[in-house]
Amino acid sequence: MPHVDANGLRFHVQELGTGPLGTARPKVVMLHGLVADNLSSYYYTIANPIGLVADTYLYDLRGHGRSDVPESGYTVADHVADLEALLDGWGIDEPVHLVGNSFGGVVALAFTQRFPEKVASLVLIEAHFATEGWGEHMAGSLALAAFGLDEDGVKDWLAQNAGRKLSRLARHSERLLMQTTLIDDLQRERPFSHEALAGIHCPVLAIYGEGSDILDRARDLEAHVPRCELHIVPRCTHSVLFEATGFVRERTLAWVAAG
Amino acid sequence: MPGPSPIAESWTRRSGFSAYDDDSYDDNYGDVDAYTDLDDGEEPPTEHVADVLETVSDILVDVIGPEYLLDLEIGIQTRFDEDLEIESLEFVALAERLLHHYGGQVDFVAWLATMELDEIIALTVGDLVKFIVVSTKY
Repeated sequence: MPHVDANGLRFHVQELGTGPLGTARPKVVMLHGLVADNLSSYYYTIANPIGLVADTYLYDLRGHGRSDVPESGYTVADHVADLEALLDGWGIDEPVHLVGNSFGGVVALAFTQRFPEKVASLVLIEAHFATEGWGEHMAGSLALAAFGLDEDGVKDWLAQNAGRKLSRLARHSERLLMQTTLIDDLQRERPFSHEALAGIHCPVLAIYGEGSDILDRARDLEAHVPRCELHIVPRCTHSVLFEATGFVRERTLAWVAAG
Repeated sequence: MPGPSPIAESWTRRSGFSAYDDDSYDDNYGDVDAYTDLDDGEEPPTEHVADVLETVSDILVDVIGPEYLLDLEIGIQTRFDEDLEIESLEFVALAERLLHHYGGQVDFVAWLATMELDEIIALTVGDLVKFIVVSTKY
């Protein structure tokens, strides 16, 4: 699988639709969500259509998919450092459009705060950025997801009853949740303040599901980010990328094409 | 016999190239004859279809692992999701490997860009073979 060595780790990457030499196309980097997610959630939904109009870069976050799984280093700042190193690895020295889904949106937002000059715009899909109590909430959710995965009886049951795909997903999730510092690192994250949101000056396209359990983040973005265009998609939840793929694809395509 | 997947129907419309008109369609290597049924009289050489199927099968075995495919013969009717239980990242790896094998004449980005998520999930090996055969001009 294609990879880039960056920030001391090996990352599985995919580059889609890179145009002929000498053609100027926008550059888009997509960041996926936590634990059961990987770059394929974009590959199966919006990445290929966007690859027709922009040089599109996907990667598995550390600990995910086919990227390295270090034992520690899962803070948002670690992920920001990964992205910075990956941009160098790809040889990208112009501002990029960042597309982040869920936790990927958190990393995209934090990266923009740290390196505003490297970001042309943000597309935040159900960005799950930290508010007061976020760390405890995330840690609790992930601990619940991990519950029982390391027990022999559960492993035996999965081996005998689950398909190859589910078994492998369970093993990977167990390793990430039980054998790394992911949960502890996220628990210590500080809230993303309203002042920090007000300091995001690039254009931001925010897409949330009407039934999302983090709709307060959508309202925060709309209220505090100076150039935020918010869309709340009816009859969708936190999984809006999959529930309204066509809408997300068309809005993101138009957004990137408009530059 | 299950009916053609949405992608098969779509490509039949776009290419005039149908593997599903033949009632004898089955799930074996021998089906490659079905791929020579073209509306406009232009027929891809059967050997080329067989070559593409063999290439796709070899890469699939490599990507998924032979230990998982012991009892399964890969044919044009094999479904990636239901039959092979292919993981999403394995499908990405398959596309990557095929891109390297066939080069720029096979534009997976443009092909996949035409599909919705449920269409990709419903893909058969035959859909992929057909796309490659048409792309490589047989």
